[in-house]
Amino acid sequence: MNVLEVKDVYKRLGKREIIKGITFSVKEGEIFGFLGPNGAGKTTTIRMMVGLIAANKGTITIMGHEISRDREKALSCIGAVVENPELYTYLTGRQNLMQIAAIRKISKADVEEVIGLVNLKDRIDDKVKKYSLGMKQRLGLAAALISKPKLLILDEPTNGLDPTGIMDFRDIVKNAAKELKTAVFISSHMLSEVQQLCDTVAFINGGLIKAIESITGGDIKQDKDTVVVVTKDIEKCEETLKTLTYVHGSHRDGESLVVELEEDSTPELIFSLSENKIRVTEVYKKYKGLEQRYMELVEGGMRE
Amino acid sequence: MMIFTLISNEIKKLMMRKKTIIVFAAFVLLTAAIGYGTYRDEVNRKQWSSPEFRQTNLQESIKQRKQDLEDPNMTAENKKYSKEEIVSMEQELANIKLETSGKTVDWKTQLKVKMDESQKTIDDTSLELPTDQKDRMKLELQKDKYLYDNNIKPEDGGVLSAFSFIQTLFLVLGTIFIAVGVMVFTGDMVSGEFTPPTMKILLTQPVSRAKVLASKFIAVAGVSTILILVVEILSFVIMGLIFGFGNANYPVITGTIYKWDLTQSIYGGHPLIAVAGSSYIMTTGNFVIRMFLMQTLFIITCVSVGFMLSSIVKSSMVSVSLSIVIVVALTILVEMPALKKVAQYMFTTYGSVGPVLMGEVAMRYNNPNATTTFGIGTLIVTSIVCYVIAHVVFTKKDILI
Repeated sequence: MNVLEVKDVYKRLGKREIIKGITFSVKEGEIFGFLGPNGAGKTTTIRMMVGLIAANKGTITIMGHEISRDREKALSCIGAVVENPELYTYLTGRQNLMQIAAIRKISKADVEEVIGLVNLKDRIDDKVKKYSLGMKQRLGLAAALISKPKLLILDEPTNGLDPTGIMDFRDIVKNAAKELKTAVFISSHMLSEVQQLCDTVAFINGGLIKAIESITGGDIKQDKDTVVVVTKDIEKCEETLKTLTYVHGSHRDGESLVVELEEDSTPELIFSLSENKIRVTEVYKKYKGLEQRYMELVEGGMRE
Repeated sequence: MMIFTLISNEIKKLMMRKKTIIVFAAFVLLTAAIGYGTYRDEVNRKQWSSPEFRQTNLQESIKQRKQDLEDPNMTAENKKYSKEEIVSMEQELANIKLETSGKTVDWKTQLKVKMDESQKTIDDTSLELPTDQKDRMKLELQKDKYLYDNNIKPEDGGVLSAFSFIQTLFLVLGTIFIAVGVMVFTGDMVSGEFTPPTMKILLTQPVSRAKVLASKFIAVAGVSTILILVVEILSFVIMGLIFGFGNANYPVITGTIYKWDLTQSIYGGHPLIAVAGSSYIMTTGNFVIRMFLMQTLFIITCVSVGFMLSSIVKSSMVSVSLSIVIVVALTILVEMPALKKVAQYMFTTYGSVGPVLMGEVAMRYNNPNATTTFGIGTLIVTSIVCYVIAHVVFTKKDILI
């Protein structure tokens, strides 16, 4: 069952069209990564999903409730942190959570549970203004998780978290997805984050979704690799490359060559080069799977 | 009910804000200062009205008049007038002497004499008094009769009591302090949640925006009204315990409606005259209760105006300063002759609730339309219009924070 369905959504802010027709869906228990550079339209999309702004065209449906028509019902299925988690700095962490708990009719025991889950027990009765950025992030996550939502929406969630915090965060999200069957929507511009956490990744740039791919074994399926070849016989090497069928193209980058070739054909490349008596100093992969795809889709191909 | 949960959330937030404590403390200090000022005035007044002081004063005046009479250039008419004055002053002097000699003058006898004199003046058709003046005299006479019948000693010049203090307090607070204080308190009720953008979390909860806005309005209107009333009532009780509460049955002339009379202004008089029969007498207790109600309405109107600005403007700095500027500008600008004509439409005109209820606002702004009823209407309409604007803007707009 689809927890979230976004269908043909457009959004214009002032004169600029920010979102130019996007469609995707997220299933129960799925961790969905929303990957794109700054200004791609990630936060705008999230704002529409949580009803902070209205789409100009298209529909957003959460658990069968369309956000523009059934706003309250749709929101009751969502827990969200939009951009930085801004909680009331003059209240304590617990008072902040109790504000939400009162609205959502959540018991004290559940509030305690979520405080434990995000590891804030020691500092929960301090004023939020005394919190570090990482603690604010965890409190924001607690505020989003408090209602055990069907859909958890997180916008750049690991900003300001230290390495331990990031690992804890990953565990919390993975657990929620597995045990509560929560669908998780994570927007990010950090490749590693998406790679390690998500089942599916959508690439967004310029208000358009460029591709949606599934991640298995920590990486997406690829049909192309990019390697860098450092050699003393650069001209001879270039000629040889042209004769190889599995090489899509190459260009010079200073003293080295950047080569695009079919996936998993690097061993053949090295073999062919040495067969042609080309003296290779070094061969290394320039981009790995997800990074490669990101560059193609978002940055418009190879980078020098 | 969800709305009660939201209101309770909002009240909790309000009470935890530092600003609430600061504004409240400022208000307490202001009230205390007004209390002290009233007390100093009373001390001065007592000194000036002491029998000894009045006696020497009168003696001086009589001596002066007598000297004037010796002046050969004085017209016959002026001489006659001066002589009359001397007679009345000597009579008063005799009264004071009687007072100081320990034999108290019966105020009731005095009052009776005054009443008879007034009655005589009113009945004297040869004087050709203007109708509004006659009306005023009749009313004063009615007030005296009330005092006489109810056995209440007249308090000419006012005696410091909780009742007289609360009226002064309302007068001073109403000039501008309540409006500005409420604006400071309310001006960031909505915009304050945009910087920093805490509104995001509130608006992603499963409640309608209309309810979020309504709960904020009810919370801030309720808290500001209660905080102001509590301080006022406390100061009333404290002043009462120190200086006495005064008589709740003391009569007040109120409800006067005015109309244009340009014939008066030719002679330099005020162009407004009271409409005959519009004024009536009310007990002080009743009047003070009405002042509290009127002030509550005024506070709610101020809250609505500040609340609207805070819903329209995104920055709390801008919305708070803008609302203060508006209050100050409206208060000052309507004093200009050209703008007095529209004073009745400004909510700030009705801040001093005492004059509003008495009808004196019309006199102040030279504007007979600024009546008590019109004032109540203006305040209610302003509140509703402001809230509707806030509601429409807030429920429709994209929250880009």
